[in-house]
Amino acid sequence: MASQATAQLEIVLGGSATRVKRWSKSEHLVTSGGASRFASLLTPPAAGGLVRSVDPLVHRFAELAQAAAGRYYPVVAPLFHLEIAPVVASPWFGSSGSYTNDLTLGLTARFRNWIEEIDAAVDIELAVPISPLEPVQRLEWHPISNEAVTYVAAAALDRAASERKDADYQYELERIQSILGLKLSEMTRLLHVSHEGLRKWTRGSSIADERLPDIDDLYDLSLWISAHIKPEHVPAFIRRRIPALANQRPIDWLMSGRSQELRAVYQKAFSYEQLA
Amino acid sequence: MNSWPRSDLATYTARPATFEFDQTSPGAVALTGILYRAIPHSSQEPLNTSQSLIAGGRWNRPGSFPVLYTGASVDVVRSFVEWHAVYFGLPLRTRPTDDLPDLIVVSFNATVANAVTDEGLVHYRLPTNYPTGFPPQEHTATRAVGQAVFEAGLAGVAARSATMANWTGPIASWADVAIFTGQAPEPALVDRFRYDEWYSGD
Repeated sequence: MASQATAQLEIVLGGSATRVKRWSKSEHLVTSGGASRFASLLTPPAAGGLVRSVDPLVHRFAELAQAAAGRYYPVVAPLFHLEIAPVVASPWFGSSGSYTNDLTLGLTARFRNWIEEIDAAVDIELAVPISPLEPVQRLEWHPISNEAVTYVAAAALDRAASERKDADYQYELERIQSILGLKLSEMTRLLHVSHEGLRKWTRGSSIADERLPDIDDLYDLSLWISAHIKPEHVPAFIRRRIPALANQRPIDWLMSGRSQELRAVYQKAFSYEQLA
Repeated sequence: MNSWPRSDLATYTARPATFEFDQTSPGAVALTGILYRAIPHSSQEPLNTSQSLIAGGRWNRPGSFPVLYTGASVDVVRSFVEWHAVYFGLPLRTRPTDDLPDLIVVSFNATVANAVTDEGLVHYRLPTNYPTGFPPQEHTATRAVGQAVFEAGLAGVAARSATMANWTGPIASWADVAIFTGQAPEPALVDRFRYDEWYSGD
């Protein structure tokens, strides 16, 4: 694994433009068509397509940055999404006749600069030398309009935020399951999702926006319960038949969409307010 | 900055509250002495009645008037806490220490409605076996009585604790006292005990 990363770093940090293009193609890191479609349409939806087209490359850079500098410097994958708009605004975009290649090489050049800056600042003991990568000079190059670059910046930001969101929800799902001590089948019933759907969510697939409030509510409720009941007793508590709940179990109320009612009952209970 | 407790709990339990009845008015009882109440450990305002005003309780409808619910003995409060644990499925051993209730001691002197004796219950048209047979959270009948007592200007209601197993022996050992703080003499906070200082048993 480490040697694989080193071999790839050798290409990404020191390889020629041709080697980088070949590597990117063989690893399927850029989907062709996204960049050229944007260059001809210059619309917000096309900007979204461009950002999506380089998503695997962006993530590969994040992995390689982690391999190269992770010991010294915290690397955050979504940062690389934010490099896409500067590349589109730069002489890279439109320099070679292939927008796909331009984007690939422009991002690679940005990656090299970024690693070089880190190395200069904290000496990350790079085993691979960094070679400069420059765009081909073309007299007829025309910059993309500011407005269109803004579309790309916005799309990239959305993408980064969405990935962060997916990671957050992955975490929330894990915490809900662990705090409440739920089996997979109980989770699916609580969240009204299939086994396959839940599996995808927990692996980081996007969750439809309309499902998010339910997950947030359940997460909040789980944290709140675990603040008032010792963590080791929470799984037994939610499976206990309780007089205040008409001898039903908290998990029954959750599964029948009565989480707000459950919260109202326990707001009073946890406070120990003596009302009789 | 208060430093609790100020005294030993036994100092207070040795001097239970007194209940004096007047044969000519069976609906009232003169109460003098010490009362107890469970409060959240985190509470900074132990005599605050805003929650009872919002949520209502045994003798007051939600939003009607504020009530400070107390017990006339530590045993009464303990029985409430035990009932609470069972009713809400929250055994005390499962609760974080900071969530376990403190006990406060208050001093209170006033004439309150008598729902402790058979004569008093009859006076308020409650069955003489009250609270037997009344579901724990069913307060329709008592809230109506509470409203009438409030409108009559009394300072509260003394009643048989709904969580005690029986009502024999001195009244102070099994009575609840609901203080209508809006029109009662102000109860005085005398002392406060952490859970591990007052409670024994689970």
